[in-house]
Amino acid sequence: MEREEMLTLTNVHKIYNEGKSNEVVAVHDVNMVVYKGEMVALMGPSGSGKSTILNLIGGLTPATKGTIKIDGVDTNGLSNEEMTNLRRDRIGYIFQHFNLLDFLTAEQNVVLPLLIQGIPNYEAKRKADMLLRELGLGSRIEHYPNELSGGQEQRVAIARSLITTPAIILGDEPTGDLDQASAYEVMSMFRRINREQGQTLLLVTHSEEIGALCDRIIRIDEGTIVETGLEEN
Amino acid sequence: MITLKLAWRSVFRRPVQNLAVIIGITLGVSLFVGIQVGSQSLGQSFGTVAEHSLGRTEAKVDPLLWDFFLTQETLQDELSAINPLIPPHNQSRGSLAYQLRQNESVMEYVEALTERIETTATVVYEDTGSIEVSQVVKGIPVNETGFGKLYNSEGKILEISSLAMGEVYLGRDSVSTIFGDVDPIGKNLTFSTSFFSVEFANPNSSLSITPKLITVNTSVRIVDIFEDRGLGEELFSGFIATSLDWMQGMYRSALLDARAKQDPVEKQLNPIIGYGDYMINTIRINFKDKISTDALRDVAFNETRDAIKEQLGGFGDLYIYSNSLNDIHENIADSIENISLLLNVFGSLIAFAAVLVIINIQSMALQAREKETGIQRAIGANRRQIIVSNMLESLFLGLIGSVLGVGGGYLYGEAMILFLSWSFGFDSSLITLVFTTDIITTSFFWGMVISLTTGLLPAINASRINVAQVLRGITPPQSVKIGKKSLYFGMLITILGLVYAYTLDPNPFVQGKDAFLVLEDSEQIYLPIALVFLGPSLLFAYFKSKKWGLTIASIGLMSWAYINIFVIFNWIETSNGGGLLYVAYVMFSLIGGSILFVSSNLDTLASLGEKTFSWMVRNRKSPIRGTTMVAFRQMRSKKVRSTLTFALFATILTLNIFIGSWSYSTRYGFDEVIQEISGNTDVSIISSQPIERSIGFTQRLMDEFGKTDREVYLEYMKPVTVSKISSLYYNTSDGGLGEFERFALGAVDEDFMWSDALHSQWQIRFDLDDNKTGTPFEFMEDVQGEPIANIEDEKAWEAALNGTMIDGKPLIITETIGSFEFGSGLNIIAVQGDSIYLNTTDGGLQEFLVASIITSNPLTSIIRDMTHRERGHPTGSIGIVARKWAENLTMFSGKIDTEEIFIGKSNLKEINDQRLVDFLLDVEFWANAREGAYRKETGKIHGVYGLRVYSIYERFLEGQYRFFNFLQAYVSLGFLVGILGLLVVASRSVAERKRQIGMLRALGFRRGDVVASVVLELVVTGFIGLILGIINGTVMGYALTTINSNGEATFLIPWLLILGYGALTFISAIIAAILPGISASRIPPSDALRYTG
Repeated sequence: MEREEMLTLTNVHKIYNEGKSNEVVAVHDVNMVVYKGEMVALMGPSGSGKSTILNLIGGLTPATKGTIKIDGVDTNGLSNEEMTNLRRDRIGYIFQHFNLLDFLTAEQNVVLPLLIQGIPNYEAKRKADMLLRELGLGSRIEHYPNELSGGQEQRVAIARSLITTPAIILGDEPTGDLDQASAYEVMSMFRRINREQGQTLLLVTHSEEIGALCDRIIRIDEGTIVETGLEEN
Repeated sequence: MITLKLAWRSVFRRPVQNLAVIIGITLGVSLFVGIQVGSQSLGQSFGTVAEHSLGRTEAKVDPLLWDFFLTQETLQDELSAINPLIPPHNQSRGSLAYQLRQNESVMEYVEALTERIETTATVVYEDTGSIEVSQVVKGIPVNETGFGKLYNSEGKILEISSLAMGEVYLGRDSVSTIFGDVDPIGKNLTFSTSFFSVEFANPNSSLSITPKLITVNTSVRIVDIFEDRGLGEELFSGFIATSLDWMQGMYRSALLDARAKQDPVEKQLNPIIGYGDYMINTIRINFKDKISTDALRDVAFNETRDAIKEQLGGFGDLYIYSNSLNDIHENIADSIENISLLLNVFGSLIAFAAVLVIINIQSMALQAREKETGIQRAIGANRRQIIVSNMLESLFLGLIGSVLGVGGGYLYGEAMILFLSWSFGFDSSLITLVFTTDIITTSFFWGMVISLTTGLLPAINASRINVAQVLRGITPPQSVKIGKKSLYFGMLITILGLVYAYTLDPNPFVQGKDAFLVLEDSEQIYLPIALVFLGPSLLFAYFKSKKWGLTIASIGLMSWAYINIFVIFNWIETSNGGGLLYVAYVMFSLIGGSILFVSSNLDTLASLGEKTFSWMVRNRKSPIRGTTMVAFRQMRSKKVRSTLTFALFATILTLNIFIGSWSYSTRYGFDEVIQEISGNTDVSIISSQPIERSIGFTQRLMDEFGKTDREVYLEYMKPVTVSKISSLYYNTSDGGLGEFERFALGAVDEDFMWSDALHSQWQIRFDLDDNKTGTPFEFMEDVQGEPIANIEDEKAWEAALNGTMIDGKPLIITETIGSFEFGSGLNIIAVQGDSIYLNTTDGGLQEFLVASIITSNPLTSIIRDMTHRERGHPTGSIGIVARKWAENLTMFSGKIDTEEIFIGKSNLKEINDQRLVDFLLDVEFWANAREGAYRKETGKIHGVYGLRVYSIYERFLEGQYRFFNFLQAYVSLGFLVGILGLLVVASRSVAERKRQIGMLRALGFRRGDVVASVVLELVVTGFIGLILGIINGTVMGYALTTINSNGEATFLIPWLLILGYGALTFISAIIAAILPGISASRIPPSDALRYTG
């Protein structure tokens, strides 16, 4: 049976300061695919272009050349606002430094993406509370980020990324700031979400151990994909 | 050394932020310098203008009424020849100027002594019928060299000696009113004035000389126009200048002519006798050069005055003696003091706002550098070094700000002078900018004070950071309660406040309400009580929480301010001219209290705001709810910054709305009072000479203008005075000659009460005071069933109307309150039952009884204004006698039949309706100028002059408004500080939140949502400031309006102005936030996410 593609990058290039003396080729002719329901690790050494690829996928920075398709949508033709809407509705983001808003409680941080979507407050709160409880944060709903541990903060970030039921979750070193125990705790949570809900995840990491917990590993070096982890490769 | 280096580098490392601090300090210093320069220059300029208007005149002697003349020897000798009781001129007061020149004790001080005639006349321009009553005319001696100059529009000096007989120079102010657009040069004016054949008689002697009124009608030719400019004496151009010789000749001819025409029998019984060739009524004195100081001038003035009084005998009291130059110097000192105080109070509030901006910037800067400070501490810098390094940086910024502030202050002072000269209508070239080394020193002092005080607290806070937590990026929670030391310190202040309050004299704890009777006493009570209020708040802060403590303190401050405004202000009965400081205390309490209150409860308020806003947008399918949450929560989390921002706006808006509402209430708040006093009278039509009743002027006026199809028409019209007597009130209560006071008499008859003009909307109030209960009541004869509170007053009024007597004495009813003299209080010259002696044609000196006192009525105000507008209000105001007696009165000076007044009510609802101006122009044209106009029919030199009743008040308003405009412009400067503050806050806030913005964009915030969240946060913060500003400013406006008008004015809220300030606040907040917001939204989210602050 042919697997359905969730994410496809075709001949994608990213060049910073193009044509200038300080030109940097961050990503060169990248071709990769992530299938629906996959949990994929994107690995490579520092400065290899991992985070750039993630940002390109999330539309946080535009590609210089090439095509990116997310859930069948070609992001090339999208305006800034359409891209923002796509990100809001179809992509979940998880960052290394959690990036929670420190002036919002755990619940408010989770609720925010739904409010941005225009979901009524009560409904957003109900969903957020449920999700936080599912992730074991039932007693921390009213806590502010500075009152949570690193693992708890990242779980809140995961809840925030899941709340909109996105097509794909992009994780940028989601365990980078965590100790080993917390990192495994977070990864097992990703795995659970992936298995139980069929959630597609693309996680950037430089840890082989973390990569090993994924379905496959895509390796990148100096901006070029060196291994896709697919059988034909 | 390293500390110095670090500080120096910091100055240049954050150019934008430090530039903002420098601008803040520059603004603060500029304000202080500007206030000093402006107020000193202004005070100086008022003096300069006044000195220029004086020329070299240092002292003046003017008669109480202009129709009294200081005579030359001829009259005295003539009188002496008739009656041996009157000594010849060389033994008496006659020939005053001549005799003064012979007086060694006078001439010891006096270098020059000049005589003049200064009087009023009615002038008519025959071609158009334009008429100007009470036009001031000055007869200036040809040889008067030192006392002033007239300049035409080309700057040429207009010499009196160049004038031929009958030629005049016309002042610019009079040109448009008389000539309209016509060029007056070369045109003729008909000129009419009256005088008495003799000056006065001695009321203590049996001699009764009846003065005869002699009217002069002549034609004068205008040869040039003088302007309101130049360094001459005649700076104010609302008069006619001509030669003294010509005026004296004119008077003498008129006198001789009257003598020649006098009835032979009458001439035998009561001959016209009069002045000599050289009649004058004003003396101007210039002291010798050695009399160069105020103290010496006082001595010279007193000696000269005493000599003149001695010369004049008891009649010396009929003249006003002005130590003019010294008075001006005193006025300069007073005006500098008052203006300085006023500007300093307002300026300090604006400066306070600037300080808030700087503290805001400094705090943000240090917060942004927390990690850097942590590293410095980690590698060995101690707390002192951190403080010194930060303070040095502040000091550098302060120095730069001070230097710029001196320049800014200079420019600001210049701008203020330009604005003032424009708004007060004098030539700015007359004003020298006062810029002393003291001012420069002061500016540096304040620059240092501002920079050090604003830098100190953040520097101390920076030195106290928890190094480990800061390096790990943890924000430690703040303690909820205050420490014991703070509690003890606070309690000490409270105890000191209590002790201070107990030592006060008068003491509020002992005397209660009575301690607040005098404004200055209330002022000294304010501070200690405010200190006492701090006590409970500190207890709460210690035992419960800081939030509770601050809330209690804020409620205490606000309550004390409100108690003062709504209760204590009503207790205050007298003021010695102070009060501004008191108002400043109240304002500081209100602003401080309200800011504290909102700040300590910002969580609750923001939460409420968020809920309200979310509810408002509940049905919108857009990210607005997310934006709302971010904006409100951000505001709550940055409490200090939010507080400083809304406090900034609260302060500025309080000031602006305060001035605005005070000014607005002064402008419109008296409308009801004026309407009530005037009985809804809209217009007054004045005839320069009596109009014979047979002509039926009233009827003809009504036929023409009453209820026609005109847009504006007269509903009712009534004559008020038929004849008017200008005379002296001789107060017999202290025996002897006593004091003479100015006293104008109006005559009434039955028609005065216009029983045929029954209209419920047009009942003129005559509030009579029986002097027993002190309760004014309304007496309106033509209202059926109206209760009469005092039957005696009613009888007196009826007797006066009918010309009958009580106790064998004719009656006089006096008015005692200057209805439009705000703040001047009562001017009582006679009480019920007093006797007033008036000289009558048929019975000599007769005793009149003061039958009643009118406490207010519209007519006296109009009459008084028309009669005395050039000289100010007479102290004794007006008396009313029956027509029968009026016609027989000559009193000491006789009867002046110069004016007749009619009052009218139009169909317009508002007495300030501008359409009345055009209407009155129509009336004037009808009466004066058109073919077959009434004026021509009578064949007399007179005309009709239309006056809106409201214009009397408008004249008062004009000066007030200039002052308010100046204040409004001055406090508007605060908005510059406000916008600067908002710009800084917005740009810093966006810079701090770069990463956060990237994250929000990653989550799905559109660019517009990012901008909206930044704008919303600032708009809401500004809105809090606006609400506080509206409440505080309105309350302060109410307080000042009430105090200033003794509660007479209606307090009006200037909604339009408030709306304007609201819009300005929103626009400022949006402008300040939108640029940083847009630039932040343009940063690619991937870049923003990499930003580590």
